[in-house]
This record gives sequence, C-alpha cells and structure tokens, in this order.
Amino acid sequence: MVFLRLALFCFCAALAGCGLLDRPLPSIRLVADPTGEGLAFFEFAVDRSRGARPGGAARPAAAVDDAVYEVRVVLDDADADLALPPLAGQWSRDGDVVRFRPRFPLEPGLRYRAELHPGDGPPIVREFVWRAAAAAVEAPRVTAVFPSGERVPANLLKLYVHFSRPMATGEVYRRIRLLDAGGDEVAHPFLELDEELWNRGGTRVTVFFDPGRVKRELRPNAEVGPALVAGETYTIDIDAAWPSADGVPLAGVHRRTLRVEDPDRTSPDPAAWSLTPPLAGTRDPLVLAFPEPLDHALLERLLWIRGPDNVEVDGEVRVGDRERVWSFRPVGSWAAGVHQLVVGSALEDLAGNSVDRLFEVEVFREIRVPVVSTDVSLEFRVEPPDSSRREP
Amino acid sequence: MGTRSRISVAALSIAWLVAGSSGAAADGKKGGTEKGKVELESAGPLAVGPGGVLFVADPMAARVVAILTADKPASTDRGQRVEGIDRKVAAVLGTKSPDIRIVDMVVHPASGAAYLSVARGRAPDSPGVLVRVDRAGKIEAVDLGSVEHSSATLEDVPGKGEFSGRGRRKYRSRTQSITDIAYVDGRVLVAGMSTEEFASTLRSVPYPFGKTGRPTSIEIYHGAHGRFETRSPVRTFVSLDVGGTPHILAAYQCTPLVSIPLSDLQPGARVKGTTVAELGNRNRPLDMIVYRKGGEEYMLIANNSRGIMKIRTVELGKDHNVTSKVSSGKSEGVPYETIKEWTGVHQLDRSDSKNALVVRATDEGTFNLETLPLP
Repeated sequence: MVFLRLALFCFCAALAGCGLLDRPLPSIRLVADPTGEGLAFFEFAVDRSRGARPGGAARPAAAVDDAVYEVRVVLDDADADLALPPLAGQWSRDGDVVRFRPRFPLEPGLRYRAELHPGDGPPIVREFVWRAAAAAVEAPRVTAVFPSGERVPANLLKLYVHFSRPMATGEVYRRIRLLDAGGDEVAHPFLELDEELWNRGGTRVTVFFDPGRVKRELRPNAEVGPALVAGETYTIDIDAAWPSADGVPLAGVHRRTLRVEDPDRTSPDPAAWSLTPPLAGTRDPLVLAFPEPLDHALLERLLWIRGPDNVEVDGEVRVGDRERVWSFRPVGSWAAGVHQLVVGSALEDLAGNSVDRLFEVEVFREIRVPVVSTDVSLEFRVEPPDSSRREP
Repeated sequence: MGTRSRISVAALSIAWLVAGSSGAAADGKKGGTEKGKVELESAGPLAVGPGGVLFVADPMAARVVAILTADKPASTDRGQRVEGIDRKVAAVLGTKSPDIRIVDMVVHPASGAAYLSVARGRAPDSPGVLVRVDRAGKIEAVDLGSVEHSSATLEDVPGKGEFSGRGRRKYRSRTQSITDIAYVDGRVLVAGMSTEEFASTLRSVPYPFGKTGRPTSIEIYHGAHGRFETRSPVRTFVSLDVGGTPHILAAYQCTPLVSIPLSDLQPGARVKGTTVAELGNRNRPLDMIVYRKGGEEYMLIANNSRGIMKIRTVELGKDHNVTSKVSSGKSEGVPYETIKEWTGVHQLDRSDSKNALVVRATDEGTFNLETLPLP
C-alpha cells in the first residue's frame, strides 16, 4: 500500500503579511510545525507596554492574561445561528507572545478564525486556510471482489471488497448495490451494520447478505424473500463516488456479475479434498483442490501445515481458481516425513456452512457439535524424490 | 437496573474469556489503576461501571480501558440540549462533521454529563477521541494525557502492522470488531463481530481488571419458527430481571428477540435462549434501555426503521415463546407500543430516573443531543 503524504503548507488568508515582528501589535499568525502533518500553532502578539485589559468577547476561549483569545473552525455552509465552540488545544505564554497549539491536526482546506480581544482596542480577527499543496493523489481502485467466480449459491453469505487504498467509512451500504438482470436495484440485500467490518488498514470491507433474508422462515425471508434467487443473474455495482479516507473518489465504477445457483446446504468435507504432496528437498507448492469454492479470507487464515517435528511450517499461501485451489510454498525445503494439513473448523464455504456445522440447523434437536470447536487435520507424507521407485 | 447494561452485536457462537484465577491485579489502591496517558487507536463503544468508572472499548487495539473520571454530582437538573452536536463536536476537534463519527454515547450517572466516543477521521482506523458534554451543554475533548486508568487486553494478538499472510501468523491477526460493552455483575462483557466468519464473540473480563484467561465458548441457541438458530450475531442486548432472575435480553441481527438467564452464561456452556418476539424485517435495533415509571418497569428499543419500541418488561416473563411458523407481516410474541414521536434516534441512554438522552438526526441532516422525558 502506498501512503501518499500530503505536502501541506499554510497560507495567510488574512489581510496582513506574515512577518510577526514587522507588523504593528497586536498581531496573529499561524506557524506550521514541521514535526507532524497538520501540526501548527497560532501566535498572538500583544504590546504589553500598553497594558491589555479584559476583552469584550462574549465567549472567551482562553483568558491567558487580560486579553481574550480564541480559535474556531469556520464552516462555509453553517447556518449563522449555530455558534461553534472553539478548538481544543493548549495555551501557553512566552513574554508578549501567546501561543495556541490545537490538540488535533489542522485539516486541509478548512478555514480557521483566530480572534484577539486586547481589551484596550478593537478586536483583531484573522482567518487562515490550511491547504494541501497540489499533491499527485492516486484515485483508489477496487482490486478484487470475492467470491471471484460468477457462479454463487442462492444463500451466498458474504462479499469481500478489496481496495488499493484505505477507504472512507459510512459509505458501504449506499455505494455497493445489487442490481437484478433488468438493472433494477434489489432493496436492502445486505446486513447494514453501524460497525462496518473493515480490515486493519481499511483496504478490505466485508459485506454480509442479510441473514434474515437468507434463513428460511424468518420474518424478513417471509416478508420480502431472499435477495438472491436461483437461476437469476445479478450485478454487484460499486459506485465510483465512494471516496478514499482522504477524500479521493474511486477511479471508476466497478461491476461484477453473479450467476445464482441452488442454495448450498452442506458443509465443506475435508475428506473430499484432493491433496497433491510435494517432494522432499524441494520448495514445490503443496496443492489442495476443493470440489466447491470456499471463503477467500478464511482460506488464507484457517489452513496451515505442521511438519514432522509438529511445528508450523512457515511459507506463503496462495488462493486461486476462484477459491477452489489453495497452495502453500514453504520458505525452506520440504522435510521428508509425515505432515499435517490443519483445517480450522470455522472454515466456511460461500454459504457460511463451516467444516463443523451448517449455517442453518434444520430441526430442534440435540446438537452434538462440541462447543469448543476442534481443528481437523489431514495427514500426508512428503517423500524423497526417488521414493516412488521404492514404493510403487 | 442501577447501571446501564447494554451490548450490541454479540453472537450465538460466543467465546467466554474465563476469569484468571489470580483475580484482579492489585497494584494500586484504586483497583489496579495507574495514572498516565491513554491513547485510543480507534473509537469504540462505551459503558459505565461501579463508582462511575467509564469503560472505553478500543477495537483496533483489542482492549478495554477503564477510566476514573472526575465527574461529580451535577449542580443542575437541567438536561442537555445541543443543536448540531455533530458540527459542534467536529469544531472542537478542529474539523467538520462529515469527518467525524459518533460511535456511542453514555450518560455518567454522577454528573449527568454525556460521554461520546468519536472517531476523528473517515478511515476505518481513525483514532478515537472521548468527548464530554456537561449538563450545561459545554463540549470538551477529554484530555487523556494523564488519567487514572486500567486496561484489559482482549486477545493474544500481534502488534500493529505485524500480521502477514503467511501460515498461522495471520490466524492470530485481529479480525474482531468490538461492537459493544457493558458492565454486568462484576464483569465487563465485550461483544464483537468477526470480519470474516459469520459468528461473533462475547468475552467476559472481571473488573477490576486482572489477568484474563483462555477463551472458551458459549453458544446460545434459540428456536425460531420451527428452526433452530445457530450462528446469527446479536445486535444489542440489555440485562434485566425476568420473572425475578437476572437475564440478558438479546436482539439478533436477523430480528428475533431472545431472553437468556444470566446464570446460564458459563464458560463452555450451551445455552438455550427463549425467543420472545421477532421484530420484523429491516428492524435493526440500535440501543436498548430499561427504566421504571409509575411502579412498572419498561424497556425501550431504538431501531433504524420503526421508531422507538416500548415493552412492559413483565411481559417478558410470560409465555410468549415464538414457536409456530411466522405469518408474514406481523410481529409475534411480546406486545409492544411504538413511540412515534421519537424519530431518528441513533444513540439512546437513560439520563436520570425520568429522562432519556438521545442523539437524533434532524431533517436538515445534522444531529441534536436532546433530553426527552421517558414515555
């Protein structure tokens, strides 16, 4: 991920110039602090020899001495009646100079108004705009949507959308839309969570289809039916207006076709997987093929290898062929001997059926699945390259 | 119901972090607290505990911080009313309202001040800020530079940026979102939802914080119209007495309302909850509070599409078990009244014995903080 640093500079939007000492007192200036992005302080200089007295501001933000100082955000679109409170920050005094250091970084493009009410004269007011320099900001892109295959079960449980850069929150459920074959929007197909499900770093969001519409015989399912109907074709449409966390919209609309098949109501069965073991002494990948696509994120997380020494083998996981193949290339060479492929029992297929249980349990009966799920492991033997001749 | 007890987005598949046998760390006179800086990597839910301790969840850091605030009994009975609370909070934080997110709100029982958990920035991992609004409506970004606090880490996770796609290491990476917290009976319940599996976790951490143990699981099953609910996350829940015994009343994402005896929530237990109602399509519960009025106990459920629902809690002890198959269109089970005047409520807490404090959306697209008499 590329972090694009915004080169910031401040410019004085006030009438006066920027030389503090050259100006008649009192004066106000904004001084950038190069130690951090958006960090700055406001400097108020007063002529102490004239003896500043309490000012007339109705809402003094800080009475560091006899004068009254304050710094506020100025909103262009705010209704005038809404009196915005002053910025949080720290006031300090150094001789005739009073400094205000805002607690939080200043925002590019936002106007800040600093006021000084010296008490013995008219207040002076300066406005400053903290501006981002013209930085080449790359538009974010959708880099992947999982499941990556077009064919999905009618009880598809979730989508993962990956982005090239961290994205803005609060947009998910209006920017990702499900369209039917006629291009009409399917109303509220997703579980709309206030706590949006982002990865650390903000480049992947998980979107669940509304489980109340997926599960049979719950009210949402009965009232409005499932979002996806077997035999139909849909489009996932991701709106280009979705901004990155720093406000740059997506490079373009992203669309994906979903061809919906019958619902999947069976658990993934590790016994049905096909495992191709590598040869000892090589770094060839171990290849595991599944009869159905499995969950992309969980495939990356819930499968791993234990070597003959019972220690996890370090290596690189790849998920491919529309999430039907998982491969693992070790950092070092394969040791000869018995290995274990460990399968986290929470590994799910596209419908949320995991290795140890189904998404929906059909009847009210005793459930025998242990509360503490245990991992499943598949044993395989890594043979030396010439072993096939000895053990046909 | 002296303290507020509310949890959202727990799950059927519930992991219960067992209390460490050694109990609380007792290295200080105030329950193991120390004075120092608290940095919130992210903004999460809030709760209030015994003695007015403020619990702040930090989802990205996978921890809960308990802060001893300096709140004193308020000198005024006046309830807050702050128009444009989102704009004003943003202004204090030096930014504009689209660039903040109010994640949660609680009322401090001593001072009546509202605490808001605010994300400053639009990124999923924008830092968290604690904002205090006193009874006079004065807004302040709480200075966490030197506060009495203690904290509990919720899981054994790698440090920031330490995860990778290799082997098991990624398995241990953080994929939980802390979605709500509540103090219930000597423990902080921390609810989360996974960003991957359709399952969420509820951890229990004894307070004062001490060593935490290995997570074990509890599963709550409830019947729903001929089927057995297995994995749906809980959206929100409160603790309250049902039929004289402490229960948790949980509203699930897929709309059933389920009551569970608190005593059943033991490590490793498989718990059978009772479905008392199904709230209906797109009826996403946001917050729940319990209060007494005229000698009777009531519960309010704020939700996204149907206004505020008011339930007489005595009804929860009656036989409203929803077992038959649902007929479309109607809510089943516990009867409720809709308080139509309370529109646009996003955050809800009890302000005092007679009032609630809400953050509600206005027609102009801004938010107000308002005190409303309990219905």
